Amino acid sequence: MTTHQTATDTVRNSPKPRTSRARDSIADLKSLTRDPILLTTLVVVLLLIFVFVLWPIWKVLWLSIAPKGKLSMETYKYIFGQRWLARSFTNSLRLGAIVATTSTALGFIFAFGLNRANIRCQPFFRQMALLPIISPPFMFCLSVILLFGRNGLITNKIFGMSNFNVYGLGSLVLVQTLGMFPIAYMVLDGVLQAINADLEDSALNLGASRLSVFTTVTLPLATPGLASSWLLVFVTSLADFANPMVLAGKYDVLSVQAYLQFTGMYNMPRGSALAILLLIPALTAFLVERYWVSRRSYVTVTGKPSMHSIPMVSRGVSVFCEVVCWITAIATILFYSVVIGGAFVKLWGINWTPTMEHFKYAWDVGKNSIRSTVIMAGAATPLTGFLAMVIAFLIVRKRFPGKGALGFMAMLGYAVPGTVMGIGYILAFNQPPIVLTGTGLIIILCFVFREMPVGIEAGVASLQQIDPSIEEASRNLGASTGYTFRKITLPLIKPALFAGLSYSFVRSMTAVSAVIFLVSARWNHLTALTLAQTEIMRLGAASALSIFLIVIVMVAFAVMRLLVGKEHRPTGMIPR
Amino acid sequence: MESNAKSVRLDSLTKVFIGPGNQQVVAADNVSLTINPGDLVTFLGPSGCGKTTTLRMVAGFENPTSGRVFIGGRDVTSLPPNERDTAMVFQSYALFPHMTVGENVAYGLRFRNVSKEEKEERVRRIMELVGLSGFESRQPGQLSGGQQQRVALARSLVVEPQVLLFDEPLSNLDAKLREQMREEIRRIQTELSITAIYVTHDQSEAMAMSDRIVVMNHGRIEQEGTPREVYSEPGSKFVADFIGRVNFLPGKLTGEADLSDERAAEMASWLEAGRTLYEVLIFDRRLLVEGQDSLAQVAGATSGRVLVVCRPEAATIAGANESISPDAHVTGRIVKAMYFGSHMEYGIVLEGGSEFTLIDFNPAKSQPLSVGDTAGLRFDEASLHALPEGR
Ligand SMILES: Nc1ncnc2c1ncn2[C@@H]1O[C@H](COP(=O)(O)OP(=O)(O)OP(=O)(O)O)[C@@H](O)[C@H]1O
Ligand SMILES: [Mg+2]
Repeated sequence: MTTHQTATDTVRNSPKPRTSRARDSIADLKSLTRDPILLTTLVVVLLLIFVFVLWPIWKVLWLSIAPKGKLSMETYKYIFGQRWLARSFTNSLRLGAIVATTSTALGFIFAFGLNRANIRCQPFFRQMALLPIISPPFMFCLSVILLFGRNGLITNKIFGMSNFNVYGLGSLVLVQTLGMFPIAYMVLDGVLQAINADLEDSALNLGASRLSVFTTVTLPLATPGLASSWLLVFVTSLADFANPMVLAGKYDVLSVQAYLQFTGMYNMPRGSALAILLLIPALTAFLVERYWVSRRSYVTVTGKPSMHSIPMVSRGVSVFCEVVCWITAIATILFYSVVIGGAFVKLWGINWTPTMEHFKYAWDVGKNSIRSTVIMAGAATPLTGFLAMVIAFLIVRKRFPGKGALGFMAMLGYAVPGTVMGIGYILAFNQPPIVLTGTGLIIILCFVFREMPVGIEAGVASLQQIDPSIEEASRNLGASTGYTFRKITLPLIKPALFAGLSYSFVRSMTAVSAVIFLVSARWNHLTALTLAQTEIMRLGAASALSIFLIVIVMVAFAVMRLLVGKEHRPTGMIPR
Repeated sequence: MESNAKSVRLDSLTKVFIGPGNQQVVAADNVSLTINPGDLVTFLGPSGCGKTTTLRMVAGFENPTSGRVFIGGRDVTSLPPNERDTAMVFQSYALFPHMTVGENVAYGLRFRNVSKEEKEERVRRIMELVGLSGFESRQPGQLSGGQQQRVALARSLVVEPQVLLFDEPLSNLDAKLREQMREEIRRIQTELSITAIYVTHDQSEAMAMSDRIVVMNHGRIEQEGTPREVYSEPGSKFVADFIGRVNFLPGKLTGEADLSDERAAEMASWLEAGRTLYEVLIFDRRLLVEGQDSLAQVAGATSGRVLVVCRPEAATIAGANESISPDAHVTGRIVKAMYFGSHMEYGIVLEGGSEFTLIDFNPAKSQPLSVGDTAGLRFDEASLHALPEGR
């Protein structure tokens, strides 16, 4: 590519002098008034973001600091005065920190094993590392209960324990790690692939042992990636509602407490305050990741993945990585199998007679939810894709003042825990001017603005890879802007677009933390139904519902693959 | 710095890659070569001919499918890269972005028992040698391409390796800087007297800086020799074509030159061992052309037909239009005439229809010819070479 590739990548753009910046924005502003289409688009986008992202968050914040209509910190005082409530704050942070550490470690072993240690069965492990991303919520909880619960296969049947307590921190760490290490893996896989192989070769060539190459070159270059991964998993674990709801037992965490206070006790200010307490660390970690850690990164996508012909690690390390990968893969397969098994036997642990009755029952109670879930997710997906592409296009290709702010606000839906969004939507849209509670539309809108950031990320990443001169060439040869966008830009970003879309469809299908506040009898969501079944310990039905969800997700992926041709990993996209 | 030069010997190195669909790619095919201590040898050849692969086998980044690598007489084939004491300058420079220039240059010394004082002293001396004193605390990203190139060179030199390896180190630089850097690399390499292998596909770079050139094609060594040898005594059509510009003339070998003739005897006396002077019919003219000893025998298979290599500067214009000199060996019609200041370049369609490129280095002396003119051509017999046909 260019001359100073590896090295210049690392230099950040030096800030422009203030005066010229001011002059630039004035010029931008002027050009904006001359481009009415751009101006209108911008205004509409800003309005949407204000109404459906900022306004709900503001409502939550306001209710928590002004429970009776005027400013008062009494709610927060109460929370921190009650040990059982205050503890949910520290519990959430502790859980987040533990899971971030274990997931990052596991993700790194996977990424390192697959990129550097030349372990066997690589395609299989890659699949296994991505599988949990599409798993329905509660699914691993079900597995853990089926394996380690009162009638658990392992605890009860193999070890004969009858009073093993599966609920608590340990189980949570297990299911969250297994469910969230793919985030770490995806980040670190990208980082390790992007480290130019020449750097490690060069260190080796200068006499460094393989261990020294790792400690002086590979690890320092991967450190920003490790930090990113840690922070992203931390945020994800904080925001997780499904797993702690089922498995936390006495280990109270914020997302669950906020839900219980809000919907169970109808104490809306307290629920809001707990949600805000959840928002603060989540947003902080997200901002640190986005605006500090990721800018310290030395690696950028070079297009040429790292390739080493000779092993970069010793036999022992390679074996270690492979063993860890096997254990993880076997655990994942086992977790999936018991859920499938659980759906086909009468009463897990007591009556193993094969049966279809759970499916029949699940279909009876669930068919309406399935339909509405697919409709809502299906309606949200194209809207998400369209809005995301427009915003991505504005961010990458257009100049206008306040671009950074727009990007930030659009990404907020990503950083804000679902609990906060769910409460915010209830508070914001249950009274005029906009009344949406109880409708399917509120859920669709919630999906759109929560999934939009994923689409924007994908769009920005793929647009940035398209040299503007390609579009300029098309214009230069006589094509209009619209034609160029349709025939040149769109086909080029189509794979990333579809990957982003199918991914956001899956996330809408498996969403729970925000949706749980918004569902109604008429517009129920499969995950809410699964939760209800799990809570009343109808594990067979919950398993059957999970299988329905998996099948729908698989079909969505198959359709996407048909449309795009081959599997396309979402670019620049980090799942929650 | 005392000379640390070591010889390098490649013994039947072969590398077979298994590509997609289990298809085999022979990247290096039975490569055998001996490099004398302190020599700079270039691997020259078209893209994909196996230069990088061979170089990486010397460095230890690829394990040969078969064959052995010796450095200083020691078999290093099974040694990992970090124990080989080679230092490679990468095309991408591979500067560590998280270290300063100084830390980059000192990196290799971490793994050699060198005291802190000596380390600083060596880094200082090397930085001076490459003309970058005072840049130690910069980040690599704050340097220009040429400066980054020098840092990469310094980082390799400072460890005083037994062998220096270069993989197209200058291909990221602009033409001017490239010329400057190649002189500098050559200067430093001779000054320190380090054995070096230099990969390039730029033939003028190879001509300018090497002690010896190894021309590769399809994973095999086509020819190995001094720049002069590969240019003026190409061993094959491929080499003649790849190095410099060339015209191929059809010829018919009629026998060895008659050495009782005074002119033939003098020409033959200049020949190197293994070469013979032949009589070859070119455009029905009987010319004296040298070729390898076995040529007569090889050409027998093609009833004497041979290929005569004539560089564009090995022919001169011998009169034009009405005044074609009787010395001319052949006449042709000018279809291209380009003025380059230092020389004129003509395209001339010869009898038989083939186009001949001729470079006239004295355009000022004579009236330049123009397109449409008929010109007489005279070959400089001493600069012609005959090759077996079909190779
Ligand atoms: N890791 C690999 N796997 C499969 N084939 C390879 C690999 N590395 C190189 N090859 C093939 O081996 C052949 C020689 O490659 P090599 O890189 O040595 O060429 P080169 O002479 O350096 O070319 P260039 O001038 O383009 O750098 C090529 O056909 C290439 O496609
Ligand atoms: Mg190469």
